[in-house]
Order: sequence, then structure tokens, then C-alpha cells
Amino acid sequence: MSERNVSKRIYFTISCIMLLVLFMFQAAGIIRKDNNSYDVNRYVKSEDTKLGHNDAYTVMRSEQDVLEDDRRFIVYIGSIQDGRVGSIVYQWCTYTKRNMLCYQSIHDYKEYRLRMPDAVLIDSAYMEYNEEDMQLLQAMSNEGISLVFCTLPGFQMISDNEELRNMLGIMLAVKDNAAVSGVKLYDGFLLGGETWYIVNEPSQARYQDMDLRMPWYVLDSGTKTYMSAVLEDEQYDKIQNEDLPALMWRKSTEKSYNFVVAGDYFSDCTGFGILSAIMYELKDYELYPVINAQSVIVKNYPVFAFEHEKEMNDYYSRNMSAVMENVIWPDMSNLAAETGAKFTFMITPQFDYTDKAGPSSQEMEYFFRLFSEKGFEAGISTYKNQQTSLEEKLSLDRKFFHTYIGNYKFLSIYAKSGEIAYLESADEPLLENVRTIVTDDSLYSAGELFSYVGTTDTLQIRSLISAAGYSFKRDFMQKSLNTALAYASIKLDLTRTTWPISSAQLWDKTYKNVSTAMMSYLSSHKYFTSCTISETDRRIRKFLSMDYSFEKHNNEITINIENFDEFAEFMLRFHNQDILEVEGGTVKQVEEGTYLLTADSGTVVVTLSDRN
Amino acid sequence: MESINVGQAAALFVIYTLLVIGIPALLFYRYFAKRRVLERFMIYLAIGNFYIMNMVFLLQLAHISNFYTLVLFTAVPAGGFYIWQNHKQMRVSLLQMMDTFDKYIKGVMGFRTFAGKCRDVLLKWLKKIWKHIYGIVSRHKTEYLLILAMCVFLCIRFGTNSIINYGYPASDLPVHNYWVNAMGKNDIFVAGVYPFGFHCIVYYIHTVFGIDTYIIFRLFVITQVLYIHMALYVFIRGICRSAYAAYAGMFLYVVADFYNVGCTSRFIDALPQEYGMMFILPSIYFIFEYFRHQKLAIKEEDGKNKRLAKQDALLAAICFSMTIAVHFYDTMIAGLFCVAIVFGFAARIFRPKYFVRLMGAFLLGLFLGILPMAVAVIGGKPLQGSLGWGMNVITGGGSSADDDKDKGEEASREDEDNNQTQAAPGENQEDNAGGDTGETGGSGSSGADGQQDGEKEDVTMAEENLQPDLEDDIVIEEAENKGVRLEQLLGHMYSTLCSSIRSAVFSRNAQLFVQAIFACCGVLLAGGLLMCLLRQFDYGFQAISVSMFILVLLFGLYDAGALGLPSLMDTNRSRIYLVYVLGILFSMTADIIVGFIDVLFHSRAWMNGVSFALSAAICAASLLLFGVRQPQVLTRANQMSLNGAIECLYNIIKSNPDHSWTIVSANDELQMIDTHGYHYETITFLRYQKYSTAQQRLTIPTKYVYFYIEKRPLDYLVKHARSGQRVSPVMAGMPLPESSGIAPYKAQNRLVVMSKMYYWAKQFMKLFPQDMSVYYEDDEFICYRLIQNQSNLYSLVIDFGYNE
Repeated sequence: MSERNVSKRIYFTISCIMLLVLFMFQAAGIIRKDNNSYDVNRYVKSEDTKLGHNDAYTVMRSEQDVLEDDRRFIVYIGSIQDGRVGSIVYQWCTYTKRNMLCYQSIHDYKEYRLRMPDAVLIDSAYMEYNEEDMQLLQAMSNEGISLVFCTLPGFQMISDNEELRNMLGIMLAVKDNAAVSGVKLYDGFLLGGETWYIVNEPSQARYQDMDLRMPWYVLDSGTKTYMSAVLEDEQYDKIQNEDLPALMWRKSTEKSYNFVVAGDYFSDCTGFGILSAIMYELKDYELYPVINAQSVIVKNYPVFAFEHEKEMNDYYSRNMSAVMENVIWPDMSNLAAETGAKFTFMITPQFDYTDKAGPSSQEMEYFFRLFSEKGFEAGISTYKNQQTSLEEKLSLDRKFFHTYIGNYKFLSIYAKSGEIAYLESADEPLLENVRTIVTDDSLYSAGELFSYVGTTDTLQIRSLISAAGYSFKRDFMQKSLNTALAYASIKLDLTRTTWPISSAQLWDKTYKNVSTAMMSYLSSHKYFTSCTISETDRRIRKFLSMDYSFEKHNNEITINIENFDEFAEFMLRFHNQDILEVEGGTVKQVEEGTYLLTADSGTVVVTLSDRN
Repeated sequence: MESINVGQAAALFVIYTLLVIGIPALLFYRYFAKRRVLERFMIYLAIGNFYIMNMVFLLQLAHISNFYTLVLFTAVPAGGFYIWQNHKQMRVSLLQMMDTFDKYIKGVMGFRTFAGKCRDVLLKWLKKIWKHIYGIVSRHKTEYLLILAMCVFLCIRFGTNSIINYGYPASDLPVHNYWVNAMGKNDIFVAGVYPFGFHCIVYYIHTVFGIDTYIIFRLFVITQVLYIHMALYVFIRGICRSAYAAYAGMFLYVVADFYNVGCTSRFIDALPQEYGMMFILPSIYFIFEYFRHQKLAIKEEDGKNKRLAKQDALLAAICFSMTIAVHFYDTMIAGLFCVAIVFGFAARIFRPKYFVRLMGAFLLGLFLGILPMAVAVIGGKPLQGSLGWGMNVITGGGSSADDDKDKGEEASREDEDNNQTQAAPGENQEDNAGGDTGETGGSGSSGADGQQDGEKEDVTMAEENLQPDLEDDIVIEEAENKGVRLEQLLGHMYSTLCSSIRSAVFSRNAQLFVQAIFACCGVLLAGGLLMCLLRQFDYGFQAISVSMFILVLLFGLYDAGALGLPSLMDTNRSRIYLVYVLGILFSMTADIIVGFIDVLFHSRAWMNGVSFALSAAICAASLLLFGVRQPQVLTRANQMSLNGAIECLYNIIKSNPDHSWTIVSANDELQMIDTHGYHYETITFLRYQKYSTAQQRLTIPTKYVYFYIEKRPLDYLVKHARSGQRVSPVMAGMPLPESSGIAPYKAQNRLVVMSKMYYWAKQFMKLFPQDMSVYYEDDEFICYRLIQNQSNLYSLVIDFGYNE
């Protein structure tokens, strides 16, 4: 058999193909690297805004002003200063641009015939429900004023007071402190559809953190239930759905509605969504401004210093760098793709400023390139070892960042509440561009979701819900926030994952919980906008400063927006209509009859059609 | 909606024609190609119906009836038979097609050439079909034009109602609907054994073509009426010698305002009795043909005629069996005609060469018709209630006169009997049999005043139809007691007959018309005898048979009392058949007169010319004297559903997923919705409202709940002092009717029920404006829709001010 040499033509062809393959593999990387301006924060320019403290909408509370103003208003019987219901109601008024009249006694509200409020919200702690109270409530109801019982009086009082029971639509007060196994949220009230907060299998037991002890009221006809409890299994088949302990419902009267919330849902931001949903249930439609931003804040990841080598070797059998790059990052990247989230990484270059292990510039560059490619943003975390002061830490961080990414301007910082005062007064160049402070606030407090720090233009945002694990209560709260504000602020604290002290804190153990939580909390990401913290900041500033008015004529709603700045977002909910056309904006359907409207001009005209 | 109705009615006609004419014609054309077109029509009609009825029955009996088995048992035998017949031609065609396709796939042939070849093949087939049809039509253009005109007139006369009034025109259609619905669960005799033929056809169309049963029952009437009249026409045309004599009788029957409107009022309903009429005359025609071919076979010892005679006997048996399978009354009429044939063909029938095969065919027909029902009875199914009623009438247990006389009492009594039974109120026996139609029951049929329930479908609402027969029993009794002579008896019979039918049958109460019938019978009898003398035996015997049949029908049905015989059927029904066959009498009388021209002068052209002139003269005279019959349209008083209700139903079915909705109504929707949704009776709903103070809860567990409310309630066949009034607080304040069955929905009760329902809906909408909305509204009808959460249902019991 004679051997044949490769011809020059074939040799040339093979070489070309090899070169082509080489080019194809390398070119993408080279181009990506060359065009990756990782050392510049792209959100500095794109999210620049001058809106600040002075532009924010302020709720009118003086009786005279409110009655003379054209804006919608509500009346609240209770106290704003009590830090519970009143605070939530007040915040909600700020967000929905309503005015508010607040009385500590219902008898102080004498002007109810002058101008009709959207509703009278009642904190039962400020009511006696005696004959006089009932007469007044009845008179308001007869006038067509809807009542919202944000909290209920004790079981015994309801059981004994037939007039009150009739007003609340309670046919039977069955039992105080009944044990239930979970809660059912019905479709059409909060966004997200029907949800059953019950434990179906033992592994889900850790999700259950709803209040499982409650008074059991069976409702009368003429009521519509929005949320009820689910009884224990042994009682399940014996009790009809309609007889289950009701948690939120509406009693229809001749001219108005009485809404009842039987549970502690107004002590935190869950109340926002409930109030918005109640306003929607009052009328054929409801229109209110929203933020439309979903942000995820990852705290203390990545770390650029090769610290805690012993712990890392013990638990991960890898050094810090390998854990950051090869263990956590791939999952984070997948999670971002799955949830559509744009993460904001609140970085501390190192945990321990007293040890010899300083931050690695290569490590930093590696991650900043990844952030830039994915559209993520980096912020600063104030986390540090106790021996180092905050001033020192910030100074050391500045030196490090200025040395290697001097052009990167940090717009946000993650800080404890106690550190805010220092941050505002500090003359630290690293903070000169910071306009957002994310605080690690308590989940179930009635504190403000976001506010300007004092009289400054720095916005303080609370990271509300932890993604460390899924729970029913957090899910319910997120549904409420989606309904009221189209807003999510999820926090993922990886401090202990990158510095573990037990095997339970390892990433492979926590990741499943994190992904379950993130997938659930951000399930509406198809409709709402995923944002980094700077984008969220800008949207919140717009949201706080804008004001609006609207009028409906036949099948046309005209919305006029004051302080309009580039765009504004609204939620529109209709019971029996759909949006046909929008002039001056774009619209996205969230659910049946629920739309997210993005106004791109100061006047928007929405044309409606009747739903078949 | 009207245009949808027209489209659906046309679709039903096309489907039915394809099934009972098209497919049999494709398969059996070769076997019957030598026969006359009209014979082929009857043959295909018989074969198509016979196959579908019995196939469906067998599949139902085996509990395997569904879309797939029905298609399988239609397509496989038909396809197999067709391939077996045409396998050679098909092989060649298939090879050609494969060759062409192969060339196209391989790229030898371009797409345009391939498409052109396909187009050529299609055009060739279309040309072939067109040539065939044109070949038939072109030979008798005038006749086909006249037939077409008749069909158009029939559609207008009997079809208008179903197009403009969307509801069921007869009160017992819901019951038939219920039976067909049950066939969907392979329960063919859900309410007991009942002639199943018509139901099988409706079920087949519903299952295979996916057309809702209620649409078929509403709109099949046009197809049905066309086929009934085509069967009459082809029969007359088949036995007449001349070409145009048939049109005289048809014109008097179809176009002229000659007969009482009540005689044809049932033709606006798609009911089994009327459907079965299309098989009566073909069975008779094939008996006539049997005699003719058998005679030729005997005379000429011809194998071809022998084969034809066998075919005729078999076809007669098939048609006869179908009268049994569809409705016994049709069998009675066919049977009476057979009795008349015994007289007419007396000279032949008792000869063994005729008798044996004919008797065999008769027994076969009987066997084929009764066997399926006998099997079901043996299997333990009881007879359906209305059959008992029919037997009762026949055996004299209750004459039609008695029935009519006691109609009101019976209706109320039967309503009382239906107490505690919410299901299917109204239809008495039928409904009792089908009483387990669901907790809420159904609207069923009305059992209108003057009508009997059960199988006693509402015939007409016209007042004159409700007149009781004269006191024949009393008179005959007197006559017997006095022992009057035979001629006196005959005279009395004649006068009784005249008084019975002149008002019931003719549009004008004139003795002359009755006399004309007798005169025609006389002429036909004499003419038949003369024809026999002229050795035109077949024609003569046929003429004698027809005249005898009319006389048997007259005396057997209308003078049975005078003869001391049991009355076979009530006047309301018998007159339908009488006017149907009177067309044969009139046409044949005209035909026999002109027939002599052919016999004596052997000139068919002259005969046809004279027949044309004579028919034209009869048509013109009848037009002048009687005028043109107007379309039969139900008045509001006779309607059982408002158009809005049916339109709503159509939209609800179309726009909602099955089983996601419930209709709360007082009408016929229970059966109309079939498997699509659920139904709740308005009266039950309102009775629950009484308990509002007792904190009773009423829930309906579907996402959508539709409330049907008549703002101007129908009378539901019973006029009352407040007829035509709109719902009002006064009526809502009246006590809720306590009666059961259909009674709460009749007359003033309906006004009370609807008024209460109206104010309930208003109040509920006030309480839940976002969830309760107006789905449909017109001047007379309103439909509210409630959308609720299925996990937490609304309690529909509210205080609306008129609970008690």
C-alpha cells in the first residue's frame, strides 16, 4: 500500500479551519474583556437623579386642608404614633398619595357628611363599641361610608355584641383561640392568586410561621371572604369551606361595605397590600402608583482577602478564592438567570482588618468583571471585625478600591441602623457618591420601607425579606408588597457562608433554601422590573415625589401626573373591564383585570373595554 | 344568531343527506342503478337510516358507543365495502397517484406540475359528479324546478320558526333531549324502553359531528320536514302514471291554505312521530313494487324481476321496521295501508307465490323493529311510560275525547303526583321515568293545557284543536239500543265523520270538503276497477288500495267509536296522517283520470300535457279559493323559551370551559346544557331564599353562575289575567308557588317566580357589584353572571325583601 502525503491544498484547508476554530473560541473572550469597563459603575450616569427630600409628597392631615383638597382621603380612628396600625396606614397614604384624617376617637370625626372619605379605617383599640359608637358607625354606614376594621376587639366582646356582629357580618362566634393548621388566601385579593399556607409534608413544617391560633368566626350571608384559616386534618371533612375561621372578609350593606381584618396584619408592611386590595374591592376599579422594582441585595459577598483559611479548609476543603469563584458564584449566576434578578453585591474587601491577609486585586478584578458582564452592581458593606472602627475600615477600603478601581463610584452602602448617623456626618471620600443606605431592619416592624435620612437627600431603604429561607409569612408579606407597590427588597446575607462556624452554614446546605425562597418571592419577576439598588433608588425617588390625579369618563380614564420625571408606574385593577388601549404609556397585564402601566408622558389616557 | 341558525340548519341538512343518501348512494349505486331515481332515493334513505339506527343501538347495547366506535363502525364497513367493489379501479388510480407523488418527491416533477395534476384529478371527479347529477336533472328540468320551489316553500313555511324563535317549540323536546343525553352514557333506554330510531340518529350526529343535541333538536326540523315531504312526493310520483299529477296533491298540502293549520303544526318540531313518517310511504311503495316485480317474475320466469321482487320485499321490511323503531303511530298508519293493500291486491295477495314472501317480509320487518326493544325488555328495562299511555288509548282505556276533556284535571293531578320530585317537572310519565336527572331536576316539558304529557307530545295550542269529539259513544249506544237499520247506521257514521273532520282537518268548516274526499275515493275506486278491466292491473290495484286506505283511515281513526272499535289515536294526531295521505288521494284521482288517455290512446305526451294542465288548474283554483299558507311561527303565548335565553346558552357554552358554570333557570336548559355545565332550578333556588332568616346557606359550587330571568315572563302555554306583564314588586311580593313540577313556571306563577328572581338578582348585585354583573340583556330577558371563588363560595341566600 503506498502512502500518500497530505497535499498542500488539504494542509492549507485544515490550517484555515483550525485558525477559524481558534478565533471563534478566543475572539468572544477577547472582545468581552476589552469592552468590559468593570472599573466604572454604569449606574452612576444612568440612574442619576436630582429628586430628593424636598420633592417628596407629603400627606395632608389638617381637617380643613383635607376637606378642601381634591385628593382622595381616608379617615383613621387610632394613633399614627403608636408604631403599629397608624404608622402603616400613614405610610400607605404617602405611597397612594391620599390625604389622611386621624382621630383618636370616632366621636371626634364629625365632618363625615361634608365630604365622603374613601373609607374609615378603625383600630379597635381606640373603640369601645358601646351603643354610641355603634350608632355612629351605623350612621356612617348609612351615609355610604365604608368601614375597615383593621383590628378586631376581643372575642368575648364580639360574641356578646349582636349589633357589632351584624355590622361585621359574623353569624356565629364559634370559639376563641381556635387551633388551625394554616391559612388560605383566596384569588382576586392580593396579586399572586390563590395560596394555601399549609404544611403538606413534614419537610415543609419549617415554612409555617403564620399565627395558628385565632378566634373562629362563621360569617353571615352577604359576606365575601378573602382569607380564611384551614382547620386541622381531623376536622377538615366535617366543616364546610364557608364555615372555616374567617380572617379577612367584607360585609356588604345597603350603601357601603364593612371590611374586617381579623388578625395582626397591620403591624408590618403586610398591611399595605391589604389596604390597596380593600380599596380595589370598594369600587369597580382602582388605580394607584407603584415603584415597580425588585432588588436583591447580597451582603458580604464576595470577599477578596484569603481569610479564615482554617475554617475554609475544614468546611469546604478549599481556600476563600475557590469557594467564592467555584462554589458560590456558579449558583448565584444561575439563580440570577432563573429569577431574572439583578443583584447588588454589598462588598467588604475583607472581614478581618487586623490580620495579615489583605484583599487580592486579582480577585476583585475577577468579580468586578463578572458584575459588569451580568449588569450587577457593587456597593459597600460596613461589616468588619470588632477591633476595627468603621472609620478605619472605610479608610482602608478606600485605599484598596482607589488603588485598583479608582473610577468606580459606589452609590450604595449596607449599614446597620446605628451607623447611619456616622455615615451622614463622615467626611470619607469613599462615601461621597453614596446616595442609598440599605439597612438591616427588623422584618416585622412598622418602620418605613424607605425614607430620606433626616433632611438629607440620602435614601434609606430597608432590606425587608431574607432569602436565607422560605417562610409563609414572608411570602404573604411579599404578595402584599407586590400588590401595593410592585416592590421587593430581598436580602441574602452570606457572611456566615463565607465564614462558616458550623456545617449547616455551608453553601451547599443553604443554597436549596435560598433558591426556594428566591424563586417564591420573585415569582412575579415576569411582570415587574428587576433592578439593582441604584435603579431601585431612582424609582423610589420618583415614586415619592410624583403626584397624580385621574378621572374616569365612560370607558376612558385620564391620568394626570404631577412632578413627572421620565416615567411613572401605576397599578390598575378592574373587576369587570380590561384595558383596550393606552395613550401616553405602555401597559403589561399582570393578572386578569390587573395591569402595570408605565406612563411615558405627564398625561395618560387609558381606554377600557368590558370583559365578556 | 339568525345567521348562525341558518348556517347550523344548513350544516345539519348536509350532514344528514351525506349520511343517509350520500354514503349509501356511493356504496350501492351499482346495485340499484337501473331503478328509477325516486326509488333510489327511497332505497338510500332506508338503508342509511336503518344502518345508523341499528348500529347505534347495538353499540349502545354493548356499552361501547362513543365517537371512535361510531366512526369506526361507519368508516370501516363503508370503506371496506367500497374498496371491495372498486379495488381494481382504485388500484390503478392509487398506482397513478403514487407514481405522480414519487416523481414529485424525487424532483422529476415540479410543484406546479404536481399541483396541476392534483387539480386535474379533482376537476375530473367534480365533472363526473356534476355530469351525473346533470344527467338526472336535465331530463326532467321542469319537475326538478318544481321540486326545488316546493323545498324552498317548505323551508320558509316550517323552518322560519326555528330560525327566529330559538327555543324548543314543543314542550316535550327536553325529555327527548334527556334521553339522547343519556345515550352519551350508553344508556339508550334511560327512561324505559321507547322507540329509539330518531334518538339514534340525533345521537349519532351529535357524537360524530360534535353538534350539541339542543341545536339538533332546534334546527333538525328543517331537514326532517324536507325529507318527510320528499318521501310523500316520491311516493306519489312513483305510483302516478303522469308526470305532473303529483304536484296537485303536493300543492294543496304544502302551499295552499287548504288544511287546518293544526294538521301541520307539529312539523315545526323535530319529534320522532314526524320523523318516522318518512318511512311509511316507502314501505308501501316497495310492497306495490313487490307485486309488480313478482308478477313479472312469475309471468316471465325472469331472474332479474325475481331479484327485484326480493329486493322490494326486503326494503319494505326495512322501512316497516323503521316505523316501529321510530314511532308506533307510524307503524299503525303503515299497517292500515297494508290492510288496504289486502283489499286492493286481493286478487294476488292470497296466492302463495305472493303471500309467502310478503308475509315473510312483514314478519321480518316486525322482527327487525321489535327485536331491539324486546331485547331491552327481556334485559329488565321497563317500558317507557308513554307506551303504556299509547296502549291505553288503543285498548280504549282512555279515548282521545276523554283525554281532551280531562286534560286540565290530569295535568294538575300529574303535577301533584310529581310532588317531592324536583327533577324534570311536567312531563308526567316521561319525566317520572327520567326523574333522576339530577337533584335540581329539569324544566322538562309543559304538558300544556289540552295536551297530555308523556309521549303525548304537545300537538297544537290552537283552541279549535282542543274541542272534544262529539258524543259518538252516546249516539251509537242509542242507535244500538233502538236497533236502527244498517243504512241509518252508515248515515250516522257519515255525519259523525263529517262533523269530526271538517273543522279539525280543513281550514274552513265546510261539508263540501268531506264530500270531496269521498268523491275522490269513489272516483279512484271506480277508476281502479276500470283500469283492471283495461288490464292495467298493477295501477288499478294501487288505485283501489289508496282509496281503500283513505276509507280505512277515515273510518278506522275517526269513526272507530261509531263502529264500536277502540280509537287508535286522538284527532290531533290522526289528522296529521290524514292530511299527509290525502295528497296521495287527490293526486292519484287526477292521475287516474288522465291515465285513461295513456291507456286508451297510448299517448304519454298527451297524458303529461293534460296532467300538467289539470294540476295547474287545481293549483290555481286552490290559490284563488284558499290563498297561500303563511309560515308557521309560534306566538309568544306558545313559546317556551325566550330567544335571549338560548342566545345566552350558546355564548356560555362557547366561552366557558365545560363544567365551570351553572345556569339557574326555569326553562329547558337542564337538558340543553348536556355535559357542558350544570343546572339549578329557579324554584328550588327561591325556596331556599325563604330560609334567609334561619341563616340557611345556599351555595352553587361552580366558578360561574348564570341567572336566567324573564323580565316579561312567558305564559308557558297558559294564558292568565296578567299575561304580558313585566316583573314587578307587587308580583314579587306574592307568595311563592307551592306546587311542584312545571306548575310553578306556568301562567301567573311564572310571573311571581321571575319577579322574585329579578329582585333577588338586583339585591345581590347591589351587595356584590364586582362579582355579579349583567351578562346579557334585552327587552324581555336578562342574564346575570356571578363569578365566585370556588374555594369560598358565596352564600346565595340573602334578604332581598321578598323572601317570603
